[in-house]
Amino acid sequence: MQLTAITSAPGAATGASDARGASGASLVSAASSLRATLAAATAALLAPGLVAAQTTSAAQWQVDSAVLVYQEGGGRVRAVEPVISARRTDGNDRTVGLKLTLDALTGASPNGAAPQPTAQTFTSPSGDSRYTTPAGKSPLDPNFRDRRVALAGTLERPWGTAQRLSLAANVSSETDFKSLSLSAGLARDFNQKNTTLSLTLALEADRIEAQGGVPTGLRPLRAGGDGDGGGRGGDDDDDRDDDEHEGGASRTVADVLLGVTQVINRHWLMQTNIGYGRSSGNHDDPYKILSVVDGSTGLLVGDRYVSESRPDSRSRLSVYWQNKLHLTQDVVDLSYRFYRDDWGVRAHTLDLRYRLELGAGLYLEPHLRLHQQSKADFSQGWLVEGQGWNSSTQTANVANASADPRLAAFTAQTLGAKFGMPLGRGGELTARLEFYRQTPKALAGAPGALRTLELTPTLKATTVMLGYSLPW
Amino acid sequence: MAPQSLAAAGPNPPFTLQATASSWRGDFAAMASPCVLLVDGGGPDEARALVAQAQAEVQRIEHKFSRYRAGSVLAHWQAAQGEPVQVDDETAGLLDFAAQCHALSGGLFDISSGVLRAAWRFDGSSQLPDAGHVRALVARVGWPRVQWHRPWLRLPPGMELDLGGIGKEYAADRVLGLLMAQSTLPLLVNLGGDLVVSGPRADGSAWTVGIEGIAPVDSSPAAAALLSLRAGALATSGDARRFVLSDGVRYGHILDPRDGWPVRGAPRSVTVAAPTCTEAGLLSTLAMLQGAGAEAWLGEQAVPHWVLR
Repeated sequence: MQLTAITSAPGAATGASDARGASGASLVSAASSLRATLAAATAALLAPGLVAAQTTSAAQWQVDSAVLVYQEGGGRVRAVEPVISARRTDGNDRTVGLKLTLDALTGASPNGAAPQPTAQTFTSPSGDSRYTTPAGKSPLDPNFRDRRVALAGTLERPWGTAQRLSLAANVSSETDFKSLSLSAGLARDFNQKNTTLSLTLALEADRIEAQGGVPTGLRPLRAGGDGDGGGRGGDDDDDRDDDEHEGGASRTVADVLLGVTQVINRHWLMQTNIGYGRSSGNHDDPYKILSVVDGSTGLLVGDRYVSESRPDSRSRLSVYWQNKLHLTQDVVDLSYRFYRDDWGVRAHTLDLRYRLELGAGLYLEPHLRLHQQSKADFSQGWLVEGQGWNSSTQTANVANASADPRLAAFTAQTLGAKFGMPLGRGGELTARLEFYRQTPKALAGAPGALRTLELTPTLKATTVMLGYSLPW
Repeated sequence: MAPQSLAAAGPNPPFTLQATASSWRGDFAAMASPCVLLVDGGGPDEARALVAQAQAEVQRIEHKFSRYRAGSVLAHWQAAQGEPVQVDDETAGLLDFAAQCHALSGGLFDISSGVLRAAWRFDGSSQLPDAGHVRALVARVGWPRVQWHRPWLRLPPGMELDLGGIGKEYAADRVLGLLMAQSTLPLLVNLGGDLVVSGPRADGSAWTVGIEGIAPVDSSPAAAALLSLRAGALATSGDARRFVLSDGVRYGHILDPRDGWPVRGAPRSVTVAAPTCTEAGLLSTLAMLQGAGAEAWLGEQAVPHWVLR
C-alpha cells in the first residue's frame, strides 16, 4: 500500500510537508496551543547555537566574500567594491561578525551646473585641474575619484530567556569623509516566538574635509578662473568666516528604529519597521554647484556659478513593510517602503523578489524594484539672476538651493536576477546582474536657451556581483 | 563532568556505506537500533564524512544520556545522593524541555517514571507484578519533587531520571541540524524508525519511507507501510511485541506515572508527523498515554497520524 502524500492519510488535518522551519508557527487554532507550546519548547531545545556547541568540532566561521561592480552609462561613475565578512556563533548563542568593505570610485559625476548652448569650463574644487563640458551637454566633473575603506563589527547575544541584545560599530574613511557610528538594539520574543519586537538606537558622527575647503551656504564660484587658488571665490577673510569651514565640517546623525516581526502562519512572515532619524550639521555636497542664468535668455550671467546649500538639519521618517511568503518550495519577498523628510522629499519603494528553487540547491531569484520620489523643496536646476541670486550684492534670495539629481524628483526601476549554486561542504556561489534606470522629472519653467537642451538626462547603470560564501 | 575515556566509550564499530540509485546509504547501529543516513547526491567522500559525523553524534548522545552507562550524566546524578549537581547546557536544555512536557501533559509525561519498569516485564507473558511493589515504586516517581533550577539539579534520594523517552528523537534532530550545517545535500536521518528529512530530495520529489507498525490492520504487524515525506519528521511510539496478557487484558508497555500501571486501552503503536522528530516523538508518546482516547486526542492536535490497534 502506498500513500502518495502524507496529508492524504487518515486523520491528517494538516500537512507535514514543509513543516520544518515553521515550528512555532502552527498557532492557527486554540486546539493547537499544545502543539505551539511544544514547538516553542523544541525550538529552544534544538537552538542552532546549541547544536554547534555540543559538536566535537569548534563553532565555525561563516565567511562571505563578494565583488560588486557598478557602472553608470555614458562614462559616468564606476564603483568596484570588494566585500569580505565573517560571522561566528558560539555555543552560548553569541554571534560575532566582522565586515570589511573597500570601494574604488572613478568616473564622472554631474557637478550640478545646467547645460549651455556653448562649451563651459570649470575648475575642480581643489583648483589644480580644469575640465570643459561641450555645448549642450550636462556638465560632469571627470575627476570623481575616491577610495573608501569601511570596517563594521557586530556582537549579538541572548539577554535573559526571550531577549537578544545587539551592538554594532562602523568606521568608514574616504579621502574627504570620515564616519563613525555606533548602535545598540534589543529584540524581545513574545507569543511563543511568533512575535518579535525590536528597538534599535544608532548614533553617527561624520567629518567632511573636502579638497579646497568646505563652503557652506550659497557662495559665488569662478569657473575657469585664473589663479584663483581654491577655485571658489570669496576666500578673503571677511565677515563670512562663520560660514566657511576651511578645516572641514561635521555632522551628527541619530536614528531610532522600532520593528515588529510577526509569524502570520507557517507560510507567511511579516515585518514592519518604523524609523525616525535626525541629522544636524553640514549637509552640503562640496562638489555640487548651481548655474546663475538670465531669466529670459537662459544663458550664464553675473557670478555664473555658486556653490550649493542645504539646510543644516534633516529629519527623516520611514515606514517599511516586508512580507516573506514561503510557497511549496519557492519564496516570495515583497516589501514596500515609504519615506519622507522635512526637506520635502517623499518616496515610495516597492521591491519584489521571487526565489525559484531549481532543484539540487540551485536557485534563481528575479528582482524588481520600483522607486518614485518627489523633489526636495530647495531642489532646482539653476538660479535666475535677480531672483534666486543677486550677483551685484553676491547674496541669495533663497535660504537653500541644490541641483543634485538625487534631491530632484525622479522615478527609477531596477530589474535583475540572482543565481545561487551550492558547492560542497556548505559553500555557495552567487552571481547577480541588475539593470537600473533613473528618469528625472522634467524641469518646468526653463528660460530661453535652456528650453532647447536636455536638462535632465536619464541615468542607466549596470551592477554585476559575484559572491562566494563558505564555512571556515 | 570529566571527559569520558575512550575505553569507556569503546571503539566505534564500523558503519557501512553503499550506493543506491541516486543516493548514498550509511548504516550503523546505535541506541539499540538500526540507524540509517541517506545522502541524496554528492560524492562518496562527502557521504562517508557525513555518515561518520552522524554516527559520532548519535554515539555521543547515547553515551552521555544512557541510563545503562557508568559514565553518563544520569549515573552521575544517581551517585550524587540528594546533593545538588551542576549540569551542562545541553542537558539543561533537555531538562527544561522535559519540564515543559510534564506541564503540557498534565503530569502524564514524566522523566522520573523510569523506576516503574523495575516492576514490569513486558515479555508477552501473563505475569502481573505485585501491587505493593508497584505502589512502592510510584512513591519514587514525580517530576515536581525534583528540584531543577537551571543549572542546578537536586534529585531526591531513591529517584531516577531517564531521558530515553526523548533521546532518540532528539538525536535525530541534532544529527540533521549538524549535517545540514556541513552540507546542502538532501538528507534523511532514521534512528530506529524515528526519522527526519532536510527537505525534498534533490530532484524535488518526496522521500519514500517504510514505517513498521502502521500497516493496515489486516496485514501482519511486521509489514511496513510506505509513506511519502517531503519535509519534517515521523516518530512512532509503542511496540506491538511488548505487552503482558493477563485474564484476557492486554497491558501495553506504556506506564501511567500516576499509578504505575500500564495505560488502559492504549494503541499498539502511534506514528505522528511533525516539523521535528522531537515534536513527533512527544506527540506520539502523549497520544499513547491517552489510552483509549488516543485517536480523539490526536484529532484535536490536528497532526497527521497513524494509529495501530
